[in-house]
Amino acid sequence: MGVALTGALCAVLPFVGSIMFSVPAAGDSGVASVPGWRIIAAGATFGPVLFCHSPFGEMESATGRNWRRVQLGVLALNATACSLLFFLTSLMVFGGPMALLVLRGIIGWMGTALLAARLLGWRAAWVGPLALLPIMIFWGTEGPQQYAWWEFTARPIDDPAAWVTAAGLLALGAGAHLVDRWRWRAAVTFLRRRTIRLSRRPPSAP
Amino acid sequence: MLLIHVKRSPVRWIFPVALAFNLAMLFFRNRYWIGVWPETSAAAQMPAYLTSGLAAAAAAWSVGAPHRHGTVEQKLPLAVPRWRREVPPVATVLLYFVLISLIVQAIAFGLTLRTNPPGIELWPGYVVMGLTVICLAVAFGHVVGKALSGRFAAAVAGLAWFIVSMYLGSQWDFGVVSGPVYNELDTLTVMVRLLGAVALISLAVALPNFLARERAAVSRRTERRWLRPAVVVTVAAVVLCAVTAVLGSPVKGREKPAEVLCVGVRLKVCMWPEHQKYQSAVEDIVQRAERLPAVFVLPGRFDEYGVSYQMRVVDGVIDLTDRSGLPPYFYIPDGSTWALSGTVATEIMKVSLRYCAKAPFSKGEQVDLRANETEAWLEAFLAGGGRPDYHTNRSGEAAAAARRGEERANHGSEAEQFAWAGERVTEYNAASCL
Amino acid sequence: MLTITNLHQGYGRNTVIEGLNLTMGRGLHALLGPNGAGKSTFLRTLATILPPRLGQIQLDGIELHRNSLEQIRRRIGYLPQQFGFDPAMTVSEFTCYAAWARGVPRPVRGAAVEEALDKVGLCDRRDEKMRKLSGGMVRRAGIAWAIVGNPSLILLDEPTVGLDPMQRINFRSIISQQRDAVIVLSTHLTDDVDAMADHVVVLDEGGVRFQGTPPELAEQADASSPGNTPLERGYTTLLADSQER
Repeated sequence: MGVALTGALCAVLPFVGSIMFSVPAAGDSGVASVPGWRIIAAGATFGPVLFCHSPFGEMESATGRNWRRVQLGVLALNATACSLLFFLTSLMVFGGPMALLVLRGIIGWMGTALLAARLLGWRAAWVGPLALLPIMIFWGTEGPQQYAWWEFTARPIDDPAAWVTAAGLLALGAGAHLVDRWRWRAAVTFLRRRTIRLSRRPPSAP
Repeated sequence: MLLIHVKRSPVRWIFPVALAFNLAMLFFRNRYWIGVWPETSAAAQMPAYLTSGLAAAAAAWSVGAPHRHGTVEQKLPLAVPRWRREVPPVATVLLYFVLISLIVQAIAFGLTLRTNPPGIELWPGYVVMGLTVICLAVAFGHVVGKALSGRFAAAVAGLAWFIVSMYLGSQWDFGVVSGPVYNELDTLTVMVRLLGAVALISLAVALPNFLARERAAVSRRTERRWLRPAVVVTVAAVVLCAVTAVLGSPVKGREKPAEVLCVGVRLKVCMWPEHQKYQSAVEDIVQRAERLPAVFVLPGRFDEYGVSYQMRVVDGVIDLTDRSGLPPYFYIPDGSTWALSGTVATEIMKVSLRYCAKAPFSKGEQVDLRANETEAWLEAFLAGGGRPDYHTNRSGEAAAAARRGEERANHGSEAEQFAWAGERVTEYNAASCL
Repeated sequence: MLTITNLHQGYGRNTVIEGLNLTMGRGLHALLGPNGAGKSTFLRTLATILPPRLGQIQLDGIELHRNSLEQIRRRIGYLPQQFGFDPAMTVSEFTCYAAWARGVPRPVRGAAVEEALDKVGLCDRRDEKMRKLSGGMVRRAGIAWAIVGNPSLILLDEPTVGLDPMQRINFRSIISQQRDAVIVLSTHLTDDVDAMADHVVVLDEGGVRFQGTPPELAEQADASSPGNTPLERGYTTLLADSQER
């Protein structure tokens, strides 16, 4: 289902991807010219992430580590398949450099969707990319072909800051899923014990 | 019933975030819109246009609530027909997003009201435009929510609406990025669009559920209950959409104003009366121009775009032909008075410098560069110093010359600057063409 | 009075109910039957969700499937086996929604909600969120959903499933107060029937196998039939007979 949704977006890409839309922006000119592919790329992450929503709810949270591994495995597989599908379609439609830009965009969007999924639940993962998209367009565009350093969907392909931002978002999103209730409690307990031990340490001799 | 939905809808959590987001979009940018009515409502409309994707997603999310909550079966035999039961949730989404838009508009309105400039009649058009986009987004989201399963509906609705709205904004003027004073919105077109959008919401509500599993659970007779309202709103929506298409873009060039706002004596600059807030800035520019040494010849008058002639819109583009005998025009785009100082500088240079009339229109590279430097100085001097607030595509020596000219306007006394500039003009006029 | 004449019902090519004739007066009618006997289909037909393939259903002389659905449905309260709720709503809002959607006029809606909550004993929980209620209380709220506005036909599909013994006793006492309406309650728990039903209808293989009072059903019992109570034995005897046939 997730791949099907990405497939549908890939089908739309050749028709909408190259259209330039005039959108309001905070930059000097007040307008940003946004190509369709930058928006569609945000949607490429919806399929794999929303697919993780399951109606079993509580039953799942009570299952063991194996089930969680399977879930993350399916997510990783789905995400890779969808990203690859979208990347290859972009490669065919726009060519190499642009396809790499699309790929970088997907990496960032995936991280945003994962982060939203951790905070709001799998079903509401779309909130992340959909809320970030207007921010990226409005404040990320500083002028014609000029973008803020963190604008990971539009800055030149050789821009290290944009790659770091996209990768950072992905790491943040993925990392958020590693922090489950038990690990969080363990970390808090560990820190608490350490703090107590430090405070009990006798003052060193003068 | 509406109150219960308003109190319990998940959109109430989105409301403060979306409101903050909208206000941030209004304030964390150039604030030139404060003090000019059409710019005020256009600027406050713009966040609604950008965040309408969230409204579409929320509408799709809300229509899927019976599936998420597992209430489909128990609601099937209720006396109130399905389409009437859909009204409170869709009205709730609409209410929250309309409220956000109105709050943003009210705040913007209050800020401009403090100076109370003329032209308040230009304010409501863009407010209605913003509301229309929200209505369209809600209608779109509602239909998508009915057509797709709950999991993907909101995401698809939000993303698809983002693209659709940008298309509508770019191609059909359903959203604008600014509201310049030389434009106005056609009241009839704007109102018809709003009515059409409301009719589309009604149509979205009246439509049956497209999901096969829901259809299977309902008897044909139950399903037929939507038929009559659906036919009525379909006809209404089709008629309104057709009228909208016929009426075309609501953005129209304004008629020449009966009274204009003019400043200066030797150099007269005339503006739209709605641009009252720029009066003192323009007066400063005019006074600086009037202080220039005698080698600089002042053209008699400058008019703001659209002030001195009747604008015609041909195929959606303002026709600029046939301006013979009219004074040069200037813009104040996004509140930038640099545009005026640039235009005045260019026109002064045109009448003060003896440019070459024949190809290759040059007096030698260095002489031309020095003339560029002088023009850049003049522009910066008229603007009162500082750096231009726009980007140019100048490069190499031309850019360096312009930078030198701007630097000069920021250093030294006025007498020194005038002496330097007068020397440059005399030097240029003495040089011969290639 | 609910009169059902020659009712045929089914899905696609499958016939679930065939030529069913029944008359039900005010009071509680328990619908017994094995899984797949057509109890839920029967209730959905009575609820006007499914139109009958053939036959007539009359409620107080008004034919259910030939008159204005809105008018008919005002008189029907239906609680399916799996029912849901908006977890953000309070108990009174949940009941108020049902009253509104059943067409209870605004001036009397508040009173109708109070009355329903009073009957199910949730008055002191009216402002509590639905998500905070225990399973038994959710069931009670469900009953409030079904009875608000005093419908003349109340349809309850397996309402006691998942309730503990204490909650079932509470439930029985709530239902026992609703004697002004025709209540059709589908179940396969004979203790519920024994405790609260005025009449029993046993459905099997798409038809009525038995109609009478609980003691009359108990009289059907065969000494060799399995079961812990006379009613249970009567019921199993009936089913065994039909299987033999």
